[in-house]
Amino acid sequence: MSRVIELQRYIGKPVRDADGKDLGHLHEVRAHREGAELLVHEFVVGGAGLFERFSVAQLAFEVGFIFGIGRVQGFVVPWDCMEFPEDGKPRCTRRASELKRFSAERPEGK
Amino acid sequence: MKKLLGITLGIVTSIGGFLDVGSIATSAQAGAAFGYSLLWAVLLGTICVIFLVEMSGRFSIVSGHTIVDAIRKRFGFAGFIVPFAATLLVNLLVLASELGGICVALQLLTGIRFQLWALPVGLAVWLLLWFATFDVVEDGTALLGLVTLCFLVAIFTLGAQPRELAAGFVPRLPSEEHAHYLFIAVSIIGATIAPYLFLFYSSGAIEDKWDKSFIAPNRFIATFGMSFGSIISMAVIVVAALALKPEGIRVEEYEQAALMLVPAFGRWGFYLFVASLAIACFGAALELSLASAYSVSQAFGWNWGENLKPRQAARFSMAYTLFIALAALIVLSGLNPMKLTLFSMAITAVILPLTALPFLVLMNDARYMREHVNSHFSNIVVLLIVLLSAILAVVAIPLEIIGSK
Amino acid sequence: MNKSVDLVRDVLDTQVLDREQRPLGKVDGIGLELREGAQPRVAYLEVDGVTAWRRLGERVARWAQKLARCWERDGHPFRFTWSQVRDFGIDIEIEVDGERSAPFDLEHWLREKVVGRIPGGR
Repeated sequence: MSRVIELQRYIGKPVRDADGKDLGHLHEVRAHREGAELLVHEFVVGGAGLFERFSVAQLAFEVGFIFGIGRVQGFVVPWDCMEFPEDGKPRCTRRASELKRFSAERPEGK
Repeated sequence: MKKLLGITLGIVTSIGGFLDVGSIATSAQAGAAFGYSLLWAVLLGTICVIFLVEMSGRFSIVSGHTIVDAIRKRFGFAGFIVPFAATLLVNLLVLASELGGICVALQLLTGIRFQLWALPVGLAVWLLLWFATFDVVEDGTALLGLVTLCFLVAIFTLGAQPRELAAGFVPRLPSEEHAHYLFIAVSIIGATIAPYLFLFYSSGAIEDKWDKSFIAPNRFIATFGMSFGSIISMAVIVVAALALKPEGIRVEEYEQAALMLVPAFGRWGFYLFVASLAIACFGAALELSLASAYSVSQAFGWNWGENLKPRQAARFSMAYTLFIALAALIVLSGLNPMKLTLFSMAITAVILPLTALPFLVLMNDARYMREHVNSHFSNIVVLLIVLLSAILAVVAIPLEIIGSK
Repeated sequence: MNKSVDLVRDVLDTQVLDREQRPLGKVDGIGLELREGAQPRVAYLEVDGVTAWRRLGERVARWAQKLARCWERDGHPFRFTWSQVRDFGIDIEIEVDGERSAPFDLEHWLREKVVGRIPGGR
């Protein structure tokens, strides 16, 4: 049983964990090539980006990163721990404490 | 050898193309009202535009993208749509100002009201874009634009004193009319750092297929082209200061500005001013229309290019056609051309951060710029000038509106 | 050739070129197939103006849709699969001849209705 979702609807939307805690925004979808297919293996939540809508605060953060101000922090969610309900808000089926974290000095873009 | 010719042409076209309705109007007002004391504003704007133009060329050369294309890719459709819409709106106002400038020049020459020239002038601009290629548009009008060198000649004829000129490069509030002084200052900066300029430059670099060998030439063209061009802008301030201020002539309309070359050249001075105004505005109108069509096409991924026949790029051609038509209608409405120009320039300074800051982020993204990312120095210069101008503009515009009531 | 692909950073909003290097548009949408017990796969990539506007909201999309009906030929958004991607870098090049595809509907419509009727347009 499978369904097809419009991925761009969920990009930039806030993601909650199994306890309802806010993890951040859906920032990246990492895939890899297998033959002629692209398969998703993980999602990156948190981080920076203006992708959901224009925001002056977010732009200020991005400019700050240029000067080494601020850090990007977030979580890596494996492919089998993310749900995409109809209401457009992605849900992680694990708790924040169970997820791998990442931290970087600049965002990787979008 | 060919590169040297290319660089020379690039610099010359930058000089000829530097002046437009914004620089003429703001510089004339500045000189007539405040003498030399706003020369620093042109200098500040020029420093910033040199950095932005050089970055714009370097960005397109290294990344292979135009700026608009890359901003959408880097920030996403939703993230980029606000700066994009703001830039287009301001472009429209500035285009209307440029067309207005040509119409006013024709009114000065023939006595026929400027509004009646709106449609013919719009048509003329459109015809040139429809039938000509990029090089003809770019080089032709810029070479004609060298007529604006007459302002430089006028400085020598009128005998400007170097020491007094130098004082103008230090920012100092005058004894009165603070709000108006600040307003003209931000209008000058907005006129000098128009976003369409560096967005257009990036598209031009792609149209002309600049490769890595153009990185150094690009630096030369940006630095010397903009510097020499700005000297003409400063010349307008100086000439206005020498010719109009002593007589107490304030530039509320273009008619008064037209008098400024008369002391230097006699009757010919009037015709030189009219020619300078018309040609400078015509060139800028062409650039602006193209720049807007480029922006729209690159944002949505359409085929684009002035070197293509309209039939080959119908959406691109229709974009600039629509733009020119809307701008012509604004002129037709009879809005005071001088006021429209000054306010468009000030508004440009306000929205400048919306375009310049995302661009700055791109210039520091190694995925696009590889080993050519910006230096700390460039980042600081651009950030400071852009933010400073925006803050000043937000303060100055309401004060000017209140003051003029 | 690097096997990993970041969908948001490298695919979404990237320029798409057809077999003849003609610009088709940007990747406005990505269709992701969620499967039971298997990794999600990219079902299609979509080039469609209305899809892009929908990212700003449903109301905006409705206006865009109304406008687009003037020049749409068959109303289906243009989609292609990853297997049709020939080259992937600054732009995405696909093994498709785009001349008759939906992204060019507006271009064709303008050519016929407006540009073609103005002299010098060819």
